[in-house]
Amino acid sequence: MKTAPSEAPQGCISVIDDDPELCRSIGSLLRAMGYEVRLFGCTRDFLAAPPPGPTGCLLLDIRLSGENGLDFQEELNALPEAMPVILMTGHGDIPMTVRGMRAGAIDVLPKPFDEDQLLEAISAALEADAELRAQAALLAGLQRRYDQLTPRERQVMALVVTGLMNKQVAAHLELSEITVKIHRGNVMRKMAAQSLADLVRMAEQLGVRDATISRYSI
Amino acid sequence: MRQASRRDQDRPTAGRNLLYSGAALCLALGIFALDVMSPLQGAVAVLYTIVVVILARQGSRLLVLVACGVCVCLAISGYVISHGNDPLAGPTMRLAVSLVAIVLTGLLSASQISAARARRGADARYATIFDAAGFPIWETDWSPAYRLLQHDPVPGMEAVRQAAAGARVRNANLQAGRLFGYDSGAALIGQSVSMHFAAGAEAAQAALYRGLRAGLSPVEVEAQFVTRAGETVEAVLRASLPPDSRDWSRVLVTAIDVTERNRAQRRLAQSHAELAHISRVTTLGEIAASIAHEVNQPLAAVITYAKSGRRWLAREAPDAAEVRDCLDQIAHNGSRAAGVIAGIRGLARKSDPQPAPISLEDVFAETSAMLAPEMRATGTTVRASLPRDLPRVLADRVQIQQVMMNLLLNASQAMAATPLGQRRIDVSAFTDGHFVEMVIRDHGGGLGGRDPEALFRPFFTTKPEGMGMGLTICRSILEQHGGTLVAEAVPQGGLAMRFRLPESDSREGPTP
Repeated sequence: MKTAPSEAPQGCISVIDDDPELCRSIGSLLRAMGYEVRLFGCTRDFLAAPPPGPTGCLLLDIRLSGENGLDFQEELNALPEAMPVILMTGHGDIPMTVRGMRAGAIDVLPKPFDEDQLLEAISAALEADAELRAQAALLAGLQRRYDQLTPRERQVMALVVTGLMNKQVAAHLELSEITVKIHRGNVMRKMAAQSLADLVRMAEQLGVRDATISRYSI
Repeated sequence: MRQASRRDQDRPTAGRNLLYSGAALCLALGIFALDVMSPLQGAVAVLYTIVVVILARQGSRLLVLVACGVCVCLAISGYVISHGNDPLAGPTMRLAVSLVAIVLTGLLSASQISAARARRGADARYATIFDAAGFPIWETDWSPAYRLLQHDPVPGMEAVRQAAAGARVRNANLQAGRLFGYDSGAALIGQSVSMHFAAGAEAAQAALYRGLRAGLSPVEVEAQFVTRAGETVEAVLRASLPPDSRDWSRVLVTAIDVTERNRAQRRLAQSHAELAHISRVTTLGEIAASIAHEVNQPLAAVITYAKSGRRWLAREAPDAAEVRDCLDQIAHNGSRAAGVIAGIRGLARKSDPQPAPISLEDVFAETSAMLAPEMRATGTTVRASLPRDLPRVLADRVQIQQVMMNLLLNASQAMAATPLGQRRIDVSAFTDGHFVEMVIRDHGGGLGGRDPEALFRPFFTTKPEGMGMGLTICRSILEQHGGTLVAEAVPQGGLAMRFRLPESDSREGPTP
């Protein structure tokens, strides 16, 4: 598994806290730690801002004026701006913490922060983001390659990865076995798959395996 | 007819009356004899008037009228005997004159007797009222004070004290004696009440003198006295001048003992203050969570800045500007936390109300700052438009803050069902020259057709854990300050709470 190197702190931390003074103090501390910082008073400002370039994470106050940080955390998961979330709370209680962690929060930090805990949470969040981004990049590459396949090649790929033999595929698609072999060769080349096992893994990631077919159910 | 209720001198008077009656009888007979027997050519019968006058002294109308009739009969008899056969001439004229004189004397004496009896009756009733009145009353001679004020219309306290000491009680009833700790009113007679003055009573006495001199009668003041036993009594004194007492030689003073009433009033005021304090602390409890948050935020900022500053210093190239910023922010946030705590301590402190001229604008600013976190948490915006030149009001700062806090919290809680973007409280204020009025309006559900007065009934509440005393106490606080508090439904939706307080400079004189 590939992970982003995390020896030197780098990354952009977004902070949403409705108390401007506290927000600024967190900003100062994070900048002193060497991070790039973006400060927001409310979730609307955060969503309106352009997404940060490098890896990043979000420090989110649970108690915001007129809105609930936990609700926003759940909304955010479904948005393209999704990134790892560290929750902050002035007076955390267990139900809040449980809800936040279930929704995928890296950590729930009580204010004022313990520096080590904060650093640890941030590096974990940045790592998670890097991984997320790497996976997303990987998936995007696969998707790009998959997009280059012809419709027939996609059909062949979907059937091959289920474990069917060439002649079964040919019968299924009403093609000659030779033609299937040529399509299969093209698929392996275009997808840059080293082996059938490789192709199967790619199909799983892309979600293109034809689930209605299995080798023994023809 | 003698009145049975007259005093003890009745017996000797009865003997003297017998003597007078005998003398009058002898005189009448003497005059008759003189009239009949003497050859005098004068109106001897006129002398019968003396008989009537003598008998009139006994104070009986019947006796006078009978004597008058008898004398008329005697005069006519004398005439008939002496001049019975003479033609009508000089003697007849003289008889007529005599008869007129006797009858007139008789009638005048009779009416005088009636008048005297009426006066005696009035005197007796006055004495009865004086003695039997259920409250202290005394008649006193204030002529030294009258002379003092003739010389010096604005006398000093020492002069007033001397004049008061020179006063002499002429008469006092039992209650007056008891007021000062004696067994009877007679103990006061001949003395001056000023020996019972408590400290400061001279001022009250001077106020009485001034009032009487200004032509006011009766004049009322409240004063404190010390009884013979050393207890302090508070009384409302009422001095009035009888019409015939120009030189204040007879001033009638009545007193109402208000010691008990004042004590009860003080107790009532004290329990009002205690109730207000309890309600204040309860309200603080309601917003305790947001207050804790409000204190925690700046503290968290302070700690974070401190850590941040240390990191800026520890960097390979310490950043002085950043460190300075951290220190500035630490100081700033520290004072912010201290400010929040000072505000709460002021509200939680238990102290007697201390009315002073305060600016509603300032009090509102403080209150809304304290409630800001609560308002933020409920998504309520407070929009205030207060005129800059609002006059000050005379009120206790903490209690008015309590009223505002209650009204603002109520308004915010009334909008729990209002969509988030519309939770707004509008605050406005204006003056009509005597009162400053402040209106706190929410955009909640309003009254739902209920009577606005129902809100002020004790134990009326719409909140599950509410006590229902908040508005009741708010209203009583405002009423104690001479103000009012009313609720009214706004036609467009929501509720407006209006409270009024008197302007501090529109009040004449010191407050009682």
